[in-house]
Amino acid sequence: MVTIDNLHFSYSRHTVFSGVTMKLEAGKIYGLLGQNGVGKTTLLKIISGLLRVKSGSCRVMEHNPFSREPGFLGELFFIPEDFVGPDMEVNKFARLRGEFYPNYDENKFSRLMTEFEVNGNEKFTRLSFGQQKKAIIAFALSTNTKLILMDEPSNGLDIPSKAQLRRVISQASSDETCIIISTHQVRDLENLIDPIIILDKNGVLLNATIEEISKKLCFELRALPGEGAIYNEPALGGYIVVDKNTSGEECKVNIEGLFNTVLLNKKLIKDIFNN
Amino acid sequence: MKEFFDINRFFKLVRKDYSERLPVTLKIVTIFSLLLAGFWVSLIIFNGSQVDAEARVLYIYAATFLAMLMAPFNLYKSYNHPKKGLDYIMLPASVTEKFASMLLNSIILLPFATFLGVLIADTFISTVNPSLFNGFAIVNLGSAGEIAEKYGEAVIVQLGFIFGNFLFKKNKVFKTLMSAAGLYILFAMVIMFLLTTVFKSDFEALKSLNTSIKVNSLSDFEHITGAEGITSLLKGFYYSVLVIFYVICPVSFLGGTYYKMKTQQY
Repeated sequence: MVTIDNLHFSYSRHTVFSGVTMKLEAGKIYGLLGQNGVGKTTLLKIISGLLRVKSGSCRVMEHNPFSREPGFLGELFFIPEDFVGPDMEVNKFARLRGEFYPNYDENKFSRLMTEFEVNGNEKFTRLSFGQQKKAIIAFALSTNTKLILMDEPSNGLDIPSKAQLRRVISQASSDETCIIISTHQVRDLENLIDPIIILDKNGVLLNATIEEISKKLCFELRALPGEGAIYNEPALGGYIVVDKNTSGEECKVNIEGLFNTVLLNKKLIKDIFNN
Repeated sequence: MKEFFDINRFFKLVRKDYSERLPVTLKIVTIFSLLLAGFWVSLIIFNGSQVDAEARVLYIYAATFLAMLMAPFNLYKSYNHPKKGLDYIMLPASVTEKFASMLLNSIILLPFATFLGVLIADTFISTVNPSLFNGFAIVNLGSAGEIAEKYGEAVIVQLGFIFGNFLFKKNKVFKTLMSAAGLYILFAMVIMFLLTTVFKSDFEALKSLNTSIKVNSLSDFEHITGAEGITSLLKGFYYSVLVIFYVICPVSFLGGTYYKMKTQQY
């Protein structure tokens, strides 16, 4: 679906990516994690064709994204973090744009709008930020594109909406679609995102499925910090202890714990996952 | 080829663009029509004198020209906006279709709507109150050829403003006006330099001619080509100016706009 090879990108003198390589496949919901400023949004924009790569290559569904060909755009939807809707009714917005997407499903849009409890007869400008975001997510999922990119989709959503978001994203996922979600709110999307990609300033620190992670790392809640463990984090009721999985038994991955572990043990984690 | 241009998709895009931009178009038409109506009301209140149809024709042309200059900044203001522009750029249509639709809306639909709207307002007022609005502007518009010539020159200027709209991201109107003024001054200085230095003898020869040259538009310079005492160099210069204004400028503005649309990063 997405093949990135030796990607280099910079904003004037500020280098964001140098030599990033990764492959993203259909049938998965990728969680794109990383600290502020490491280039999560930039990566989504490069994949969407909003930014041009300086060197290296990025191919999406066999297209060069920056060419922005209609056939490519009709199979991709990018939801920005701070979506600003135009001064028009949501239903009209969806009707006028929907006919450009070959697999747009108007009934699905109505259903999702109802599920999100957003009135489609209202203008975007009369909706709250969270409601606007839900409306654009409903439209994005109704286009039935093969690739959906979401930048911080749960930002601005209230608690019930986050649960609805998890449900609709999970329903939208199929063997032919690839969803990439960039987020800081890992708890909002826990149990949904798999594989996990963690970026840092030097590129990809981790790109692994939950199954691979749980086979190689063990996450436990203990009363005391683990001696010799890779990472200990104080938590309610003790410590989250992350260590190498030597037993071979799979354990539940704590994504927040994983993220902190990876950031503090970059070389070790690379060694563990490259072997 | 379908990735470059598809006629069905283009019509869908035109319909979408027009439908979304109709409120703005109507607002502009209403403003210029109300200005005319306001002028008429002020004539009634302050006992103003009769206004001839010729003067109102000038207003109709001026309003249409202003609407043309305003069109890109009102209809396609957010195309290169880092957030608001994403909606349009990510729409599954080719750059060529978006470019053509933008030109259609800015160059034809909005000016035509403004021209028609103000003309209807004028006709209505002239019918209701012929003592103040004497005669009908509609019968004094000039020949089709004259209208086409004026429209063509207005389009060339408008293309510069369309390019400015895509070239600048912030303070578009101000920067475009400043750039246009800067280009105009530069152009005038070059012409003044050439006429007063390089073609000094030609200019002095013009003094002895028993001819008066009235210049309303650039094409009026054609009249000097028949004048005696004008060197072929000056005529060549005149044709160069024509080529710059009628060919190089519009082609550059169109090419620049298309290039900016195609390579805009967000």
